Amino acid sequence: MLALTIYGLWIEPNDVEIHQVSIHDSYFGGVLQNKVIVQITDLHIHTMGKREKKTLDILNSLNPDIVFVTGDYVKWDGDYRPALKFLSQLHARIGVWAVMGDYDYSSTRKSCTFCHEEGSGAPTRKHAVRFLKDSVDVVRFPNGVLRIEGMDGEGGNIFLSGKGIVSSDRKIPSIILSHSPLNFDLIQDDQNILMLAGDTHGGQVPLPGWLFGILGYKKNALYNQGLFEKGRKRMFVSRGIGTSHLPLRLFRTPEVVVFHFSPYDKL
Amino acid sequence: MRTIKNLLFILTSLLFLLSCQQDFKEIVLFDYESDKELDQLYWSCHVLYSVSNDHATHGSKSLKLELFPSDYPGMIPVLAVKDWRDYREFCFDVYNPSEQVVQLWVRIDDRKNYPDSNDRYENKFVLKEGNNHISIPLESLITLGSNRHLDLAKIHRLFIYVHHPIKKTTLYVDYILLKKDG
Repeated sequence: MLALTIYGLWIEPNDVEIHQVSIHDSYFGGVLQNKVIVQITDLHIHTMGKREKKTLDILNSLNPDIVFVTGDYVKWDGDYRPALKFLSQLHARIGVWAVMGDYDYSSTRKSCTFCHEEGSGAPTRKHAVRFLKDSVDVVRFPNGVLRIEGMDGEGGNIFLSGKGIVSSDRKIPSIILSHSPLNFDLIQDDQNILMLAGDTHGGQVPLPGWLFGILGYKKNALYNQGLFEKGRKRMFVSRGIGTSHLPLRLFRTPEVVVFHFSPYDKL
Repeated sequence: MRTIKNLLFILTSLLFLLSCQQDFKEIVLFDYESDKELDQLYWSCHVLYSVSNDHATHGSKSLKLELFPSDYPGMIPVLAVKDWRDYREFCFDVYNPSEQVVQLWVRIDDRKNYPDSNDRYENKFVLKEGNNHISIPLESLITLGSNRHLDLAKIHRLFIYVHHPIKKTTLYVDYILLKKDG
């Protein structure tokens, strides 16, 4: 028991691994084949420690084309500066796109510093991460166009309550960044989208879904971790890197997710 | 001499109690006298908030709003007082430094999950140049479409905003309060 506690508190939370995920889709595969697409999420940074340095080392070794970051960079109402420092060290050949999570809005005033210089409306010079707040970017590749959408559930438009881009007419498939995996249910089943989400931490410890449900963690009960498919829509939920509530991870190793897109069906 | 002293004491106490009673006739929700009060706002895109020494109508400072062109820039204060049943009127002051009138909207929700436009209170006020006192009788808080009186026991959200400004608009807000009768 003592060994398990030591492992869960001090060893596994710092043992960041690479999780390879294959996505077979004619459109995404055609556009993104041979590109290194990476997702990280739920960093909950208190200080630039061992786990954060290891994550950056992995990212640098992967030399990614695109990095997607799906929210929760800080501790609840904590210091935002270490998270900004981490974001300043994210680099990718094509770009880094991100959305914010509920923890990032624990101080809405400080949350502005993700996009702006402190005390002004000027764009931040601290990092090159592009935050999407209920907005869409379109990136052109030699083999087609990629829509990258960012769903902002917390600080979004009060008139649309964060659902503004759900009803948008998608003529081409989209990668949707959403901190909460529950937003998957807002997307129609016939839409060819890939949602990248986090928030669950994979539960941090292995518990059955029904128990998460009883404890009030609907997101974990429904979408704890991994790939989900319904109709044409798909979602990958990463168990993330940091911890919240308890500084513990047991058989839920922190992960950097690398996506491999292929236009061909699974063999 | 002793009697005079006692009378003076009683008189002072009465005056103090009366002044307290006067205070209880209103509750100041937000006065924006220090930078700390800026944390009692939900910060969002396209708005800059700061505490200003200009155009205060209560205390010595006001809240300066710099609203940039966007859909609905404005302010959503974090409401500590959500039960408004004991009050008669919701009031605040707004200073418009521009020569042009500004149309200011006030939205009040009594439901947490972002009620539709027909199920919330929303009203427009025309701000002339200079100081404007906005006063909203709570009995007039009726939803737009469903004609329902807001549940004053459960006021969830206050949103003061400008609708699609085409250029940067600056306003100074101060002395947001609830008033009782009398």
